[in-house]
Amino acid sequence: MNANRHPSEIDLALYSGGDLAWAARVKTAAHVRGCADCKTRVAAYRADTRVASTVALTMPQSLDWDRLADEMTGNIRVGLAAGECVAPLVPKTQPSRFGFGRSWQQGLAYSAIAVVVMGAWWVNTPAAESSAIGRISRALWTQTPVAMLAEPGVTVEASPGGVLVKENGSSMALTSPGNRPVAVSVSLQGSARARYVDDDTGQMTITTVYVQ
Amino acid sequence: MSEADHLEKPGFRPADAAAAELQNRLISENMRRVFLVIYRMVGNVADAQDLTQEAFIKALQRQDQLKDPDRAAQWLSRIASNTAIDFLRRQGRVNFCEIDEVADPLVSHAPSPEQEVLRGERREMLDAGLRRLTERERTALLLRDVEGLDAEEVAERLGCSKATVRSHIANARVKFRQYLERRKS
Repeated sequence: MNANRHPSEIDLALYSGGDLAWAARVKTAAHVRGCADCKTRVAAYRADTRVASTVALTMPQSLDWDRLADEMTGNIRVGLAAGECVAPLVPKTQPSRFGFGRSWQQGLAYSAIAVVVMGAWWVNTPAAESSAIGRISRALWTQTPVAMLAEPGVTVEASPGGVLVKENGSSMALTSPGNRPVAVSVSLQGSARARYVDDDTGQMTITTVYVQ
Repeated sequence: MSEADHLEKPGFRPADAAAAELQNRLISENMRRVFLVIYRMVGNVADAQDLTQEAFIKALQRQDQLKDPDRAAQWLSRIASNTAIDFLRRQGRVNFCEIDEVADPLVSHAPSPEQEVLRGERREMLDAGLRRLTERERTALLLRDVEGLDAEEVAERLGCSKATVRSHIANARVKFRQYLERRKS
């Protein structure tokens, strides 16, 4: 075989370790089978690999391995102990005192219990109160004044401006001009309340409207 | 050190005795190999010692990630080689994605082959052969031929292409061969 057609040293080195791409590997294998020189080169590279591995995993002669190993083992233990000291006090996976791990299953279980309790409470609440709670919830959600339908045609509304009673298109407002509103509220029993405080005197005014 | 001694260390509270035993076993069975692989990569004992300790601490702190204890050696080896590769990068000592010229590999500031023959130590001679490789070639060769990773895995660890890794591996083998041939002659 013409020497010019020998695979390159690079290809032979890669071929010896099975690192050539498929096409080049097939071509090189075909050549090596029929070329004693290249076969010898490949065998030498394979022997070198074994030698290099052995050398790489041989301890340098000047090193006192036992002493070094003891020192490193001690340092590793100190490092681990230091890591333990600075670790969070409650590891993420530590079970709670109720015996549950902190996990999505636990969250799901709590959510399901909450839904059942809320549902049972809602079902056992009188219709009028349920309706009022619904309106109050919507008012809170939409940031509008809290209003309550006391009876057909009569609405009681509590807002930072005061308490407003509406009936058949007429309305009456109980306000406290100049005073700072502290809290306004409506109750399920049929009342609306507004509390104000005078910034100058500190006097508090409470307006409560009961609907009967 | 016995397991009991281990457990009595102040501040060190492994989750249970089995975990402590696994830690002891991981250290005793793998430290020598991990140290040597790192030592060959970084080239000096002091850095190799620090990096070996760092690798073991990292590994043992994430011990729960080890799903299959039978693969502990490979798992540790991966952490160790990554620790060494990160170190070499941080030091700016090596860019794994550059390729060295394979031509004239014996030009070096290291002692000449003749001087090393006078020392008469075969092992030292072979050791010198490895030291003549560049860090990227030596690292690629160690990962491929000592750790037994394939070229694709080596490329992944070094963060460069498979073709580049093949060049490093081939250059390393050719240079080592040329070194040995020159020593024989």
